[in-house]
Amino acid sequence: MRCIFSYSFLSFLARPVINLFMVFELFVVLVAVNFSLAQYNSRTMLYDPVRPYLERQGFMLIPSAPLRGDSASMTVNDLLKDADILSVKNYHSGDYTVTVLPDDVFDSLRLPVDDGRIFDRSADSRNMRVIVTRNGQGIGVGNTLELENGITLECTAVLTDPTYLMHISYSSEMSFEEMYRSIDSKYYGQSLFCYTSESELRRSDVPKETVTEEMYRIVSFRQELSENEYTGIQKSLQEQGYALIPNSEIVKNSEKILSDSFRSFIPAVIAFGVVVLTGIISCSFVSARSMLKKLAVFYCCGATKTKCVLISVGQNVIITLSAALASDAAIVIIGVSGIGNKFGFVLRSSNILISAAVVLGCLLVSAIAPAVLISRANPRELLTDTANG
Amino acid sequence: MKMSLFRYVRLNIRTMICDHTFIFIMLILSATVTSLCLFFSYGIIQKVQDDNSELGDEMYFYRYDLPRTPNIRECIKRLKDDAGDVIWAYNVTVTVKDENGAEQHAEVLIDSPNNTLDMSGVYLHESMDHLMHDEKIALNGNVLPVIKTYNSYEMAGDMCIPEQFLTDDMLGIQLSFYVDPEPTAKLADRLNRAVAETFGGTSSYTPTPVELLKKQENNTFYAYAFMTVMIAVLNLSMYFRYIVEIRKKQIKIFRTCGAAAEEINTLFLIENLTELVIGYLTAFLLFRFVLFDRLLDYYPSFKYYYSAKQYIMTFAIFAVGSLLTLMLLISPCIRRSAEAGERSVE
Repeated sequence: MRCIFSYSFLSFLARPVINLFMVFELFVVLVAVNFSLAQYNSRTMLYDPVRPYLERQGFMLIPSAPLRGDSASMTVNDLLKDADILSVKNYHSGDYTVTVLPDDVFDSLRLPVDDGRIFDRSADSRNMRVIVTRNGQGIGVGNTLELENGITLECTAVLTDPTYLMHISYSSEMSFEEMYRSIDSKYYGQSLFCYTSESELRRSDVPKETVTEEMYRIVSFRQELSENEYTGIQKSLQEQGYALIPNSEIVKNSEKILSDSFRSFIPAVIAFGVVVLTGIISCSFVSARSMLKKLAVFYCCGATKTKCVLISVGQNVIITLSAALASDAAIVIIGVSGIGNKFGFVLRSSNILISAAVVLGCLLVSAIAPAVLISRANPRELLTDTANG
Repeated sequence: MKMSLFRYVRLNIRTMICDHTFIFIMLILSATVTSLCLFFSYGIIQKVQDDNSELGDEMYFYRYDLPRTPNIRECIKRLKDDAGDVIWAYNVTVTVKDENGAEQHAEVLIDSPNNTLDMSGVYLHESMDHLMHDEKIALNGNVLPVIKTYNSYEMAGDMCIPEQFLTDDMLGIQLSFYVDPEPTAKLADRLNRAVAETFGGTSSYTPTPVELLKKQENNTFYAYAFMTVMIAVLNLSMYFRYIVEIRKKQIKIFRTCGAAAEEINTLFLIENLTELVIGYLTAFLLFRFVLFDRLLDYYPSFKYYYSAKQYIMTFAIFAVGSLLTLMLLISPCIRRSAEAGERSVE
């Protein structure tokens, strides 16, 4: 076995140009496939935190007129007592804006972090912990921010730049995309945006009245209501001056955005795949052809055809593994250096699976041509043939 | 001389087909795929450029906590004077009082040269029946004409008031606007100053780069288009190298028979270019008559990008690019083989 591997390695070194070319092609394939998937992930990353709310019966609550008095507000609260409400709260202090998310949303919002770690809610802390966007004030991990009212914020992580801030806005085709806005430090000067969770806010001394709740909210009933009950609640809310968008419609629009984003890449991925496949098949063919004479010598010295195929496959394994290692390194560099943010580069476990599938596929494809050539070749003829110089 | 050159080209191609069928097929296939990639990448780049120009290098300023600002009309006028050269769209929300004294939110329709909306009345969404009285509406004590609409959401909100109907007792509560040029920190500062001076208040207006997701997607498309063409060109160059390699003996024979290195070079260049043109024409037919309609399902804007001029331009790029690649890759190999042939003759 070791002998086969040594011969494979030697044959890899014997034709460096063509083999490095194959390594390069595979490297580009792996990086490109991960890019496409990372692009898709960057959308699901935003959709996942709000998905549990949207997938249950409910609606988005749009106040088209201010509520009339406390009694109206109480009626609304009473109507929605069996519902979970996704609402974003904000606390402003000078150049600082603290966005407060419900605990479950905060936990599932996995925005890429540039530095530090998103804090563990269960761990104790003296100060209110926040994660911050990249900012012109140079505030980073471990820094504390003194706000009005003597409140101290402790920064545990810095998000990548640009990033997203949860902010539910309204659009006629409402989807998860309208629940975020982009934050890019180069446009914000001294402004600093922070995220924290509701439980963290509750533990702090921030006065309740200084925290404002955003206008639009997502209502999600814990249990499925009967048609009559549901319609009754909707009607009462509309009478209170609310417009409603059913969650099902938001889910439909969100799914459409996800599938459109995936769909728009299909032709590009196919075109790319065809180019690369053509290259890999032909390279492995050319490589195997040029190896044939050497293999014929091995055959005459007693190696079986299977061993000859294994030597050729071994060479392809070296090529594929080199490409996989190089692409892993490139992906890590892209992720760490921040270049990935320009492309919405979000890595998940699906990236590992798809990379493994591509590597296996490439091994299979690149093994076919040599196997066919070797099984059909006549070693004696190969050694006596001088037609090709 | 020319006749014999073309005869040799024909003969060489025939030899390639007979002796190296697989390589010949793969070469044509590779040339076809490269040309298809060129067509496709051209369309993708056009699409991305269009998308980016639609997004505009714009930023969206907003402020939801605008202090209740009176004289909103004056404020808008002042903002127009201060920064109207860069702001191309405003979105101002004011509070108005209906005939019962209840507060409502209304969007302000700001007149601009691009505005095609009828500015003679207040726009009301159909659902706001309770505010309508015989096609008139009383707002802050003034009776105004109503324009009913099913899609006031498309404009701004449930109620939209043309700028001319604004009165001093309508309070501004929310402001957002788009700016056209490339956003910079300097521009942001200028706008912040203009807004602060106009509306008052201390907190800065936060610019929002529009549609980060779309921009990231477009960047990925760019990267794809570039990588596809690059790999396709590399594939082709690999073939050319291999073809020269498997025909070293033939080059030596030509040299031995007295052909100059330049002549052999020209012969191979013409032969390979002919094969590339066959590949290009195959790709053109495939793209125009088989793939194009399918691509329109994915990218409808493609139908605007491909005219005869564009195909000719793509061909020119393909031909010049191929010629350069061939000259860079093949010529040195041929020269080396020819020199080797010369030495063996000596």
